[in-house]
Order: sequence, then structure tokens, then C-alpha cells
Amino acid sequence: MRSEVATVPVPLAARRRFKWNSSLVIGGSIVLLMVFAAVFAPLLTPYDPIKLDIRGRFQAPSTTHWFGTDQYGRDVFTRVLYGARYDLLIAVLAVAFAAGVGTPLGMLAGYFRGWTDVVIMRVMDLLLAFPNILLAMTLAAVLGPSLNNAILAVAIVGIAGYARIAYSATMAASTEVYVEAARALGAPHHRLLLNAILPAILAPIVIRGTLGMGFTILLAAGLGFIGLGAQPPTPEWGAMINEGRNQVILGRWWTSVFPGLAIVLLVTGFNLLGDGLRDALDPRTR
Amino acid sequence: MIPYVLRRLVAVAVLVVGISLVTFALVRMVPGDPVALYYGGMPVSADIEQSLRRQWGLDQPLPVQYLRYLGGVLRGNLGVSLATGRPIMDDLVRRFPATVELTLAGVLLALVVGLPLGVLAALHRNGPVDHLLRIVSLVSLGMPNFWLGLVLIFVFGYHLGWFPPAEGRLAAGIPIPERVTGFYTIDSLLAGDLGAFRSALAQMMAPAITVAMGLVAVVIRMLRAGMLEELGKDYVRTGRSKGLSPRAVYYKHALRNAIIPTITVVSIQIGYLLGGNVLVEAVFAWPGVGLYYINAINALDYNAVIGATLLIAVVFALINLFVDVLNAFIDPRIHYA
Repeated sequence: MRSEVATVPVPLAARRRFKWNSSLVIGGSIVLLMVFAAVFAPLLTPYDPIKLDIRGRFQAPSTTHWFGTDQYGRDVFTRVLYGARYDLLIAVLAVAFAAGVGTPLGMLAGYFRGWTDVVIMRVMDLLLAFPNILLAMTLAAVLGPSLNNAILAVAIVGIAGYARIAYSATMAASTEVYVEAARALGAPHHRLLLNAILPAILAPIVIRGTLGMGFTILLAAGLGFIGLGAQPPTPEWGAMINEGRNQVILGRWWTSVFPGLAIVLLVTGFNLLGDGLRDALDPRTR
Repeated sequence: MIPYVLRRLVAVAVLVVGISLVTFALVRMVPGDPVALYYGGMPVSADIEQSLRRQWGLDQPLPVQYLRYLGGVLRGNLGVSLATGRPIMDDLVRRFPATVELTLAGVLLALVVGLPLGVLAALHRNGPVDHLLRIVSLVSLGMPNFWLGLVLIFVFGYHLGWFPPAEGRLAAGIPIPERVTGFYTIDSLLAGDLGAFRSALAQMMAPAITVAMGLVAVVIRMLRAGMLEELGKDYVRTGRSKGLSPRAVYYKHALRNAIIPTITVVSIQIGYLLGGNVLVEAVFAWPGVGLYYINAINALDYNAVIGATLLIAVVFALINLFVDVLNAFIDPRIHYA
């Protein structure tokens, strides 16, 4: 009974409020396109992303190699397609980790207040005291350069953002009448937190997570670019830009430019999707 | 007012101690033994190892080690760089003006371009110009700055030949002007060396545009939103109805109010830029704190990496403090509770 009071009205209200908009459709299409490219990469290209072909190196874009070939003769279009796998995977894992750790921390701080609040939120303030990219790079450097450590570094940097949102949303939700009612009926803390408060704060967390995907991809690509993320020959976009870096000044622009364009497209897609979701889920913030 | 400033000062002091706690933890996380690292993995006699450990305080309990570290940090001692052999603080201080000069140039450029565009977007709300600017802002926010730097180097450097090759703050062969401010553009003018001034400016163009690009979108968005909010207010209608020209109402009244939050956001962005520009400096071989940091990462010079991280975080905290206090002075509506 108590949980019904708490949860049933929320999805109904959300469905009623959800309004489609063009940002949502365009951003969603871009993201879906990239997911499609990542999943079906082997079917979309006849080439191998890793295998070397020294005789075929440095070919400019043509009908056989749409994005040209790199210094090892690998097809850049193929590597960009396979790269979507890595950059999407990094973003999903890092955002899931950051939101999965940050949201409960923020909820606990906002629900229990007192010392719990002080300890958790001051630690979060410390994470925010460093410019994001700097903390991510330093963490990745100290942990050692690898794809896994890069994901971990980017995830840790993201935690504080989710904690802050969950914190303020939890404090706001705690004063709602239905939460008061559930509390008055004697619901234990864990039930209040999971059944009453979590559904109410989910929308801002989801919006933040979507916008965070784009941001995470930029961070991870930056790590890959300075050699702290995915290691060659992994076709991660940031690492690819780095590999082609010395070719650009020699006029062979394609090896770095195309992976960068893929980043711009995917990040813009997530940003649009996030903006669209915000407008669709919460008309007050327009 | 004074109590507010004092309270903020105390908060920043606490934050700096917290920052040092994080960097100390990072130092402890560094893989491998410090003595082995110091000797590059070569075998060391037990005596030397023991004395080094004692000298570095590694035989002390962790809290004591941290207090020693904090004491060193407060006196500006970040240890010695393995790569350059000099105190890390000296290296950083020497390189700091290069980073500040580039950052300020980028911010200035972003304001010069972004402010008029923001007004334009607001005055032609939902018109073609507004839509175009929205798309440009959106795309620029999705752009990795290191990639944009490479594209600029290719298009304007390699292809069109407008920019000189990215080889630092001055073209090869041009002597460094006598150091007064540490900003080459200003120092060369003070020295009356126009050749050096031109070179300093030319070298700075492409990296400054790269820095500005991400910020322009923020400036346009903020100012557009601020202008639209102000234009909907009563005083604008009053001004118009008492016969003031649109120009006077927009620029003398609405813009002045709308610009405050924009400037605040840009000031806070300067702190983030100090971190984000690390990659821009790497692309353009710009010899600032960021390039030092990247070189330290590549040389596995962990003390230098963490030292630079600490310095940038402290500067970041000071900038935020400065912005808060400045805002409290400028805008009497901010209450100090």
C-alpha cells in the first residue's frame, strides 16, 4: 500500500508530461546511427581495423577508401566505425559507474543530513575542486595508461556531479506530502529512499547522464590523445587523432580529421538528446 | 561584506588543505617504490636506501608524512622534478605566464566575438541568425579542443599559410624580450621590439582561437538568455514607452544588466581553461604549465604531474574566490548570508 502511494503517480505523471521535440529526435537519431555503426561495423566494411598493409599506406580519401588510409595502411573509415564501439563503451561504463556511485551518495546525504551530509558532500566538493580534465589525466597517469584505467579515471571525476544533483533533488523530494505520508505510515528508511524518493529524482539523473555521455566521450578522447587511454592499435578515436597528429602537418589530414568528426557528431548527438530529454521530461526548465 | 569575505577566505583555506590531501593520496598511489623510481630501477645498497627513506620521511607514519607534505606545500615546496632536476615550483612559476597569457588572449577573443553575437541572437530571437548561431554553438561544444587545434594547423597553417608553424611563443631565431610581465606581447612592446611583438602575436593566434572556440558558445548562450530575460522586464517597456530609442534601451540598460552573469560564468570558466588548455598547449608546443604537465606524464615524472595538478587546483580555487568577492562588490543584490 505504502509503495503504491509512493510510486504509481510518478510514471503516470511522467507519461503525461513527456513531449516530443526536435532536439530529442535529431539527437536520438544520431546516437542510434552511431550505435548501429558500432554493432554492425564488420558488415559495413570489408577491411580489418588492425591488420597492417604497409604498401597501401597514406592513401587519400577515394571511392575504395572513403576516409583514406593511415600510416600503417589501415582503412580510416573502418577504424572510425570500430572506434564507435570503444568510445560508446567507455561512455556507457563511465557514466553508469559515476551515476551508480554518485546518486546513492547524494541521496544518503540529502536524506539523513547531519554528519552523513557533511562528510559525503565535502568529499564531493574536493572532487570538484580540480578542473575535470586535469583530475582525469592525473588519475589515469597515476593508475597507469590503459583503457580500463581511463574509464575508471573518467568515472571517478564524474561522481560528484551526480551526487550534487541527487542531493538537492532528494532534499526537495523529502518534503513532498507523499513522502511525509509514507514516513508517517512507518515506512523504513530503505523503502522511503528506494520507493518514494528514487523515482522522483530519476528524471534529473537521467538528463544529467545523457549530457554526461557527451562530456565523458570528450574526456576519454583527450586521455586517448595524450596516450593515457586506449593504447594503439586500438581504434579509439582520441588515440587515432594522436596517431595521425604528425601526418596533419605534412598535409595528410584525413587520419586525424575523420575520427575527430566522429567525436563531434556523437557528442553533439548526446548533447541534443540530453537537451531534448530535459525539455520533454521537465517543462519547467525551458 | 567584510564577514562574508572572511568566511569565503576561510572556506578557500580549508579547500586548499583538502586539495593537498587529495594530491598526497595521489602521490601515495604512484606505482612502484620511490627509491627505486629515483634510481631508475638500478640496484641500490641497503644503506643508501635506508638513508634516503629517512631523508624523505618515508619511515614515518602516514599522518606525519602528510603533515610534512602539507608543510612543504604551504612553503611552496613541491619536490624536485626527476626530468628537469629543478624544484617543481620554480619550473611551474617560470612557465605560468605563458599559460596565463594564452588563456587571457583566448578569453578576450571569445568576449570580442561572443558578446556581439549574443546580443544579435537575442534581438533576432528565432530568426535565421539565431538558429545559425545555435547550430554553431552546439557543434563547437562537441568539439575536442586538441582536434580543433590540429584542424587549424592544417587549414590555416599548412594549407593557407596564414599562421606560422606551431613552435612555441616566438618564431625560431627571435630573441626573447626582457622579462617584465612574462607576457611576450607586452614585454616586447615595452622593449620597443616590434618584430618580436608581431611574432608573439602571430604565434598566439591559432592557439588563442582554439581556446576561444569552446568559450564563444558559452558566451553567446549566456548573453542571449540574459538579454531575453532583461528585455521582458518592466523597465524596458517603460523606457520604450517614454520614447527612448530601441538602441538606448537595448545597449544602455538591458545589456548592462544582462552582461553581469555572463562575465561571472566566463570568469569561472577561466579556472576550467587552466585545466583544459593542457591539451591545447600540447598541440601547439606552447611552453606553459600544460605542456610541462604533459611532458611530465610522458617522462613518468609523477611528482611534477601531481605538483602541477595541485598548483592549477589552488589557482582555480583562488579564481572562484576572486569572482565571488568581485560579484559581491559589483552587485549589491547578492546577500552575504
